[in-house]
Amino acid sequence: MREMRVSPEALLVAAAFIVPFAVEFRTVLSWVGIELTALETALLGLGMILALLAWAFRPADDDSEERPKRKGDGGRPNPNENRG
Amino acid sequence: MSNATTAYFEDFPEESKVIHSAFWSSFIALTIGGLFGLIQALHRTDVFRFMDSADYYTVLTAHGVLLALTFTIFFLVGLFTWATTTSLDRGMVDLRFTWGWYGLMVLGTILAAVPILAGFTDSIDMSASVLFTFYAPLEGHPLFYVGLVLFVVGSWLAGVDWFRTWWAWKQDNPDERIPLPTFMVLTTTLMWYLATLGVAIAILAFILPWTLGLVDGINPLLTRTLFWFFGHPVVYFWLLPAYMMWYIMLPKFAGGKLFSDPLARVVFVLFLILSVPTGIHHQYLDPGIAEGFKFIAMTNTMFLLLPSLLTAFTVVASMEHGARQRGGTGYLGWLKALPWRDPVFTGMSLAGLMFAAAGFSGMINAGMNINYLVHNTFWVVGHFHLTVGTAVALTFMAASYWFIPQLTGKRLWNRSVALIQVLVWFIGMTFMSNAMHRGGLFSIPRRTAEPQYEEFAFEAGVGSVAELNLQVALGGTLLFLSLVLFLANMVVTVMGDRADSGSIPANTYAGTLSGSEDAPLILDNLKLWTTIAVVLVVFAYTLPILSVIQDGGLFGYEINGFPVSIAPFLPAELPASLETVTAALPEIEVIP
Ligand code: HEM
Ligand SMILES: [Cu+2]
Repeated sequence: MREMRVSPEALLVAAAFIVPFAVEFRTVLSWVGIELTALETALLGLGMILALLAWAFRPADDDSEERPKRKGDGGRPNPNENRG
Repeated sequence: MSNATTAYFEDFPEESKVIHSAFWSSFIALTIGGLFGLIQALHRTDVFRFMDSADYYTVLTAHGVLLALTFTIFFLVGLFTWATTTSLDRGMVDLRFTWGWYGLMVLGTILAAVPILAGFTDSIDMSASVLFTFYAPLEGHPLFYVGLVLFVVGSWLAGVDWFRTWWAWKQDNPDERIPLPTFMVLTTTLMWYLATLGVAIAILAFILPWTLGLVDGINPLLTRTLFWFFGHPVVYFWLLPAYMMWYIMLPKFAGGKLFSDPLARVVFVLFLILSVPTGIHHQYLDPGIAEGFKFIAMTNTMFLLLPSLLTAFTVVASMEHGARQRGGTGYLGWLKALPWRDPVFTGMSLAGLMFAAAGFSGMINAGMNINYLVHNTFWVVGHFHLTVGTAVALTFMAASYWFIPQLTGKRLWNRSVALIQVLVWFIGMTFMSNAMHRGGLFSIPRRTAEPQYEEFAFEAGVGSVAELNLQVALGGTLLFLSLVLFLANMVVTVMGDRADSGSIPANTYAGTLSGSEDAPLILDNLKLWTTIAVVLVVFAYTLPILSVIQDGGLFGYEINGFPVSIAPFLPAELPASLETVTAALPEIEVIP
């Protein structure tokens, strides 16, 4: 498997963050007269998660500012981190 | 101490046992309470019903009491015992005393739980389906109140225990500053002593004598006011242990240090002096309290935003510091350098994030005029499931993943399951609380098994009420699932074998960038802050309470209580029971 841009755990957290975003985004859209159904909102959220996955698995271009090896969780070990 | 290399159970084997017991008492309450939460969420949304709606209040009472009081406070006493002993680097003065208050709290819980749970069956002539606010004229079995009193007295003695441990330490270290964790314990305890006076007087002087038949009447507004005298600061009693975790543990797990020790002290002092004189903000819609007093309570409440905003700033600054220590860069890029794979860190961070959202809905609640829109609606339930139900509960669960190994010497069974657990809680609460907030805005009431009325339909602004109901049920189910994962992880962990010595991380808390040497000495003057707190309470409460007594009498009206779990009243014979009430009305008279 190709090297991912983030650890699977960080990906999971990022995906979880999309849920409140999608849920609240529906309300925000309604303020400007765009009313999504629950199904459309779910699809939108799913789309965002897929986009996230696509980003995570696409290897970074060499000329982009992104460095190939993400710091994230693969970065420097934290001596205090809970490994209990 | 911060430079220890050993785990807590190695340094304090006996204290570990007390704390471990307190944590398990808390987990058991969480499990039973959470199950009732699921039942409510499915019942009132009509997604799945298996009990009679008349039993709803029994479920709701158990849910409120077990979660808001038992779960939170048992965890707190364990945590504070850990914080005191760790930061003073000495054991409790007398462990028999420590076991004594723990035992008293257990006894109190059992005594209170028996009449609540007896409400489910007609074969025991006992009930206390009065909700955790036990407003008169709802009347529960006296045992319920006795249990509550013993539980609170147990927590008072726990406070004595922390104080005497600190005094003993002070004898040996006369010139040292109070270590930050102990400082947090002591200020929170002082706040608790002041706050619980209200509920102690309400129960001992009025409610118990009334339920025992020693006096004939009760002044509902007086006992309500005394309840909220306690009821607002109790939210800080839940919250401050979570704050403590965010201040002294989260920076460490983020790989850094606490941004400022002095700021943390200021925050806890502000909570000590401002928590109590605000309770009337729960009574904006109570007739019988003049608008001016409500306005004063609102003003005090708005001041309370300050320490919470300070906390948000300090905690985020500490996290950023940690992330940069770990090699994070950029304006927001540092966020990626945080240890998101650590369930302890992630759980606490998500809890803090949801607390920020709760702060916004809390400001709506706190504004006198806009409160009228959301008062007693589902909105409020959405709000406090973000505060106590997530900021506190999720922080405690996440912290447990670190604490249980510390206390038992056993490795956490499964970190991935733990990470999934905190994420599922976050997602479940997003669904549930979003739908509750929105439902509340359309006036869907809280505290009812049947939130629908004849010839009237609530209209949702976006989507439909049916959709909101499904969202609550979905969220509640995910939350319960998360709870099961948490409990499974805890059970398997403590059933496992002890890890090799040295493999449990050392018992440390975060260092500081700006330490206690930067904190003005006056911050540690607990007598001064307590005095100010008392003075503010006297200012805020004397006149309102006097006028409540003047209007309604000290022992109020002669009222027969309403035991709420009596099924025959509901729902088929509701009109009949209403007649009983109206018929009784003319008989109410003021006792001179
Ligand atoms: C499994 C997770 C949970 C679910 C599904 C859940 C569900 C609910 C629901 C649906 C209600 C509203 C009932 C009504 O007003 O008719 C409620 C009330 C309440 N919940 Fe939860 N809850 C959960 C966890 C928690 C936690 C962790 C806490 C606190 C630590 C908590 C504290 C409360 C309190 C204090 C009330 C108000 C009780 C009352 O009105 O007297 N809940 N819960
Ligand atoms: Cu309050």
